[in-house]
Amino acid sequence: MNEHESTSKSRSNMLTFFDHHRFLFLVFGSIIIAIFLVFVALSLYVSSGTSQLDLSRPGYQAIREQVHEDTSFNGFDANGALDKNALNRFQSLYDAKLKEAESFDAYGNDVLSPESLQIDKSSSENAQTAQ
Amino acid sequence: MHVRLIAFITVVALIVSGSTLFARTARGEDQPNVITDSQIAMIKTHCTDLQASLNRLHQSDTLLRFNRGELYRTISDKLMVPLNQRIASNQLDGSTLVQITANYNTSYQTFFDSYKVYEVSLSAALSTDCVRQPTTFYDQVADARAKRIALHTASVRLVELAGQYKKSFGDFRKKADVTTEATR
Repeated sequence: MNEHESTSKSRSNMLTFFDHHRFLFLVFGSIIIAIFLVFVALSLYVSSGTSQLDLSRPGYQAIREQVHEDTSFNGFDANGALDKNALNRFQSLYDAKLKEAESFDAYGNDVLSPESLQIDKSSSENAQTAQ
Repeated sequence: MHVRLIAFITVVALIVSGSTLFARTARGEDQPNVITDSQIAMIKTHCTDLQASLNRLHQSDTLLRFNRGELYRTISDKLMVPLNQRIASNQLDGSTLVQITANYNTSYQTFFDSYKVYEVSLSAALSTDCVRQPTTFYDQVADARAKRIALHTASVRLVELAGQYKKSFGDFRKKADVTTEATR
């Protein structure tokens, strides 16, 4: 009987403690949930590859100014008849974009080679000889 | 008896370690980027210049990735896919074009992933202190270089597939013209 009384007393004490600090629990609970959600969002931001393409990051001011998004290009209409005019129109649009893609060999220059960075064996030996 | 057992264990251990070493050498794992003392000195001396060069490259490659990504996506989303849909809605056979578009989209994903790993590698090289850790810096640059080559391959593959699509479109067009003539 005594045991039962003490258990119910401690439970009521806990309830009283919770009732007394309800606001604190609410604040800290909200902060913990917010931290968890930010962690999830940042993990997705990094793992999806968005972070690598995000030009709004600090240090990308100069790049942001050089970006020219082509919003005027509407592309080819998916609906309608496929007559000679439509095929001609597609061909001219496609040729223009393909020419643009072929005009420049992206990432083709070997700028990270030791020779380009002048840290290859012959460059360093020449530098030492000059000294 | 004990001597024989020890000799047997030694021989087995030697065979196992020897074969492991041989396998590693055959795969090229034991052939790291050998860096000489003069190269280390060179990296230390020109550390600031090297970091500046890498930083410029990082920025220009990011811009290039942005522009190229947009161009490659435009080719697929605004040209290839709408034409395939239009061919299908006109009940014509465009299976070759659909197949090339699927390959193109797969290659785009490879390009996307290649850039991701390249950027991480180049950022790691940029954050390495080349005065204190010249060897690590050299290895990081070599790693970034290998990943940039893979990125270039992915980009070339996309342009190739875009060229293939143009060729297949030409074939489709010829066939479509023949069909129209025959109907007349």
